[in-house]
Amino acid sequence: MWINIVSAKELIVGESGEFRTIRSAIESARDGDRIIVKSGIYREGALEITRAITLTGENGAVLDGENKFQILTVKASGVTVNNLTFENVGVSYVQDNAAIKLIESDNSNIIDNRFRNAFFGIYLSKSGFCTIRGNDLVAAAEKEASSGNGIHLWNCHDITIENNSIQRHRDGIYFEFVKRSTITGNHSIGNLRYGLHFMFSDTCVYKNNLFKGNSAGVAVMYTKNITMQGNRFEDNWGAASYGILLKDITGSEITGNTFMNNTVGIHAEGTSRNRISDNEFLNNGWAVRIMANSTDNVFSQNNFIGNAFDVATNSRQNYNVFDSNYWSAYEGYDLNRDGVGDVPFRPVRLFSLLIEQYPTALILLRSFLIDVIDAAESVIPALTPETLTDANPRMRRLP
Amino acid sequence: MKTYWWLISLIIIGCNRQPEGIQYGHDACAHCRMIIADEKFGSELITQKGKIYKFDSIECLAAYLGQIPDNEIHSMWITDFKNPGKWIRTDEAQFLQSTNIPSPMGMFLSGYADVNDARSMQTQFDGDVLDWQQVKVRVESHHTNK
Repeated sequence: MWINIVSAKELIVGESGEFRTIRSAIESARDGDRIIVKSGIYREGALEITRAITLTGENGAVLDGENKFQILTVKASGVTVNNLTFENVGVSYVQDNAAIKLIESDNSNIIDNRFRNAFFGIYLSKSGFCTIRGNDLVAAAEKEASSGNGIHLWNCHDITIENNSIQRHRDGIYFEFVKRSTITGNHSIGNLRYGLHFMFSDTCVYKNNLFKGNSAGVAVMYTKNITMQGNRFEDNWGAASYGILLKDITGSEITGNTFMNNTVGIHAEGTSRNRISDNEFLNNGWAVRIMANSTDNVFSQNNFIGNAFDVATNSRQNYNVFDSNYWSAYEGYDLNRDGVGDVPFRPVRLFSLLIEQYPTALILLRSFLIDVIDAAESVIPALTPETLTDANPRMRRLP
Repeated sequence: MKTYWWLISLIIIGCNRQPEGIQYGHDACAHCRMIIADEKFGSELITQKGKIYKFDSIECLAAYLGQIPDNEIHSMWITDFKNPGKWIRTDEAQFLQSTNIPSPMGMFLSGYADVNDARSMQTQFDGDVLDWQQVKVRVESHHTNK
C-alpha cells in the first residue's frame, strides 16, 4: 500500500482522458480527489457520489438524463459540483427526480452549473452548511403542472443560496422545514407558482433578490422570524397574485423592498407582530391587503405611490398601526411646515371595502358615484375602520 | 315535444354536478390561499347551490369542512394520484398517508380510485391506507395539535 493517501489525485474523464465515463471515475475516486470532465455529452443514467470529491466540468461538459433518469445523487459530505451542464431529467409522478440531489450531506457546494429541462433542479434533503451559488436553471414549461421546483430544500439548515437565476419552474426556490438559511442576490423569474416559497421554516433571511413575472412573488407561510430586505417584486399579475403572500407569519421584518406593478403588493392573513418599513409601493392594484385576523403589525416610513388602492381590509376592526408613511393620495395640508400633514390620512377607501365583499363591483372603479361615496366616507367614516389612519402622513416622498 | 325533452335533459345534466377542471398555476386554494400547482393533489368541494371550492391538497379540503355546514355540501372530489385529471368522490376513494410521498400542505396524503393502487403504493412506500372518515379524523387532530 504505497499509494499516497495524503495528496489528492486528479481524474480526467473524456475521449483523451484516463477514464471514458464519469461513472468509472467516481468509482475509483477517493476522498479529496478531483474529477475533471472534458467537453462532451455524457449519457450515463443515474450517478451516485458517496465520497468527498470535487466534480468539475470543462466548458461544454454536459450530463444528459435522457428524460428518464435522476442524474446525480450525492450521499456524502464535502462534495463540490461545479461548471457542469445538466439536461433532461426524467419526470416522475411519484419520485421527485432532480438534476442534483443531496441527501444527508454537509458542507457541500453546488457552484456555477447550468440546468436545462430539469424536473427538479437542485434538491437538498436533510443537509446543512451547503452553498448553492451562481447556477442558472431554466425548466421546460410546455406542461407546467408537471414541472418541479428549481432549488428545493427539505428539512435543511444553514444553507446559503446566492446569485442564482431560476426560470419557468414550479417554485423558483422552495423551503420546507428549513432553518437559519440565507437567500441573496437571486433572480427568480417567470415561475409557475412562486418565485420563493417558505413552508414551516424559521429564522431565514432573503435579501436583494428579484422576483418578477411569477404567478406570485413570494409566499411565506406557517413560518416565523423571516427577514425580507431590499428585494424587488415586479409584475406579479393575476387573479390570485401577490408580491408577498403572508399567511400565519409572526415576528418578521419587511424592510427596504420595492413592490412595483403587482396585483397586490402584500397580502396578509393571520399575520402578527411584524414590522413593515422603508418600502416602496408603486403602481400596484392594491399596495397592502390586510385581513382582520392580522394584529400588531406596524407599517411606517413607507412610500405609497400611484396604487389603485393603498390599503384594503375586510372589517371595521383594525389592530394594526400605520404611522409616518408617505401617501401620494393624501390631499391634506401642512400649515406649520414641519413636513407632517395636519390631518390624518385614511388609506382604506370605502370602495375597497365594498369590493372585498362584492368583487364584481370593481367595474365601478372609475365612476363618479364612487368618487362621491369615497369623499363622503372620508369626511364622516361610517363603514371603513375608524382606527386605521395614519396620524402623521408625510408631505414628501421618503428617501 | 322534441324541445321538451331537451329541456328535461338539460335539467338532469344541471343537477348532476361534476367537478370542474382546475387551472393549475392559476386558481388559488380556498383554504390556504396557495396557487394550486400540483395536479396529483387537486381537490374540490361542491355545495348544494353549485358553488365550487378548489383546494391544492386533500388536507386543505378536509380542513375546510368546518367552514361549511354539512347539509350544504353536495359532494367532495379528489384527484387520482395515479391518473392526474381523473376525479373521484372522497367517499369512494382510498387514501395513503406515507411520509415518503410529500403532499402540498405537509400531511403526506395521496388519493386513489382503486384500492389495489393504494395497496401497491403502500407496499412500495410504506404508510397507512385510510378511508375518507379516517382522513378527516387525522386532519382534524393535526390542526388541533398545532
